Amino acid sequence: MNHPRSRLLFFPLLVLILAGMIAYENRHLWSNPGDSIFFTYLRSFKQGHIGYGLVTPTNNGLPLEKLQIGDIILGGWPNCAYGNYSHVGLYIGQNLVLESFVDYGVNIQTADKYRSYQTASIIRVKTDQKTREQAVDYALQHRNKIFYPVAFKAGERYWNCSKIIWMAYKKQGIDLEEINDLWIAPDVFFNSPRVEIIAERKG
Amino acid sequence: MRIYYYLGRLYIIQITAIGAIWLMTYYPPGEKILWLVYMWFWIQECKYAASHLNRKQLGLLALLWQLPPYLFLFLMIPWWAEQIAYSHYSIFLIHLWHTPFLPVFAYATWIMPGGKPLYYYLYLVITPLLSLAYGILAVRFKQSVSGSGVQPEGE
Repeated sequence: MNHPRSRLLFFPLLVLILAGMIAYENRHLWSNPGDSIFFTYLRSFKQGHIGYGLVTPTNNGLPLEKLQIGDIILGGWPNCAYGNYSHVGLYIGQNLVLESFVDYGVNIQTADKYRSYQTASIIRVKTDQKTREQAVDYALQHRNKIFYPVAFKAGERYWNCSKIIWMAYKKQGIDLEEINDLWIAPDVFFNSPRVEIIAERKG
Repeated sequence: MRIYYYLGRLYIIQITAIGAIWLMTYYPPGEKILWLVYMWFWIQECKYAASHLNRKQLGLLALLWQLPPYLFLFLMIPWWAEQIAYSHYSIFLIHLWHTPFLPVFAYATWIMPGGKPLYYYLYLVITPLLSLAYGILAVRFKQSVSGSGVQPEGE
């Protein structure tokens, strides 16, 4: 492997092998590709949309007083490439939200910021309060962990805003993602039949 | 022209290592092993270039190899960030470019200078550090090759 040619070929070949293995393991996604976040992103890219959308702060009047511990709070900017919602957080009480972002990793912010999104929602997982609090406990154990924008669902080492919340509930036996996709996006929570919508504001 | 050959090699290794290490995070903890392979390749490429290029070319190579993250860092300067569309994605692009270091940086979360995890700052300084390390290593390899009379590695 120390020959100059071997060094040049090693990673390209590995990419092909790994991509093939992952595609094969997730072949169920090929039967209905429109549902996967990967294809959502591709479609958006064709329309010129990339990333989390155009940041145009407003005051959406989201009723934060309705929040209960374990609720999921969503915020969206126009032209977001991966759905209607750009960001998601988990309410942990006292006007605080656990979320994950590039600058801070898994961190805690105030819930007020979700009032500035063009589109915002509060949703509640259909389970008992104790289970919701256990999900919050799990998420809090991962505070400060590293953020990676394209983190796969697999593993508990690299996180993004959606994965930490999905995993927190998954660990309680509640899978909020229906199609067993490779990644999680905020829209998954909004579309899950296992949640109820508490409040919704559309910009 | 020779410098482009070595630069091309570094880019091929870097870009495909990003893909491979990212895909390997699907099978943890395989990505940690790949980081070691990436570092080994990096040192070997440094040695390989040092045996064929002069010091000036090696210095240029050390900078050009990391040109994309230098541009992303430049776009993070507030004034430019206001002038250029999508520049707020620079920090994401720096993270993606340095994906090979993800398995190591994931450990750098135990202190929070200025309220941000240590890995955030590592992503900001890793680009010049890699250039510097490449330059220093290449010059040392060059000295040892010219001092020992050893023939360059086979092409």
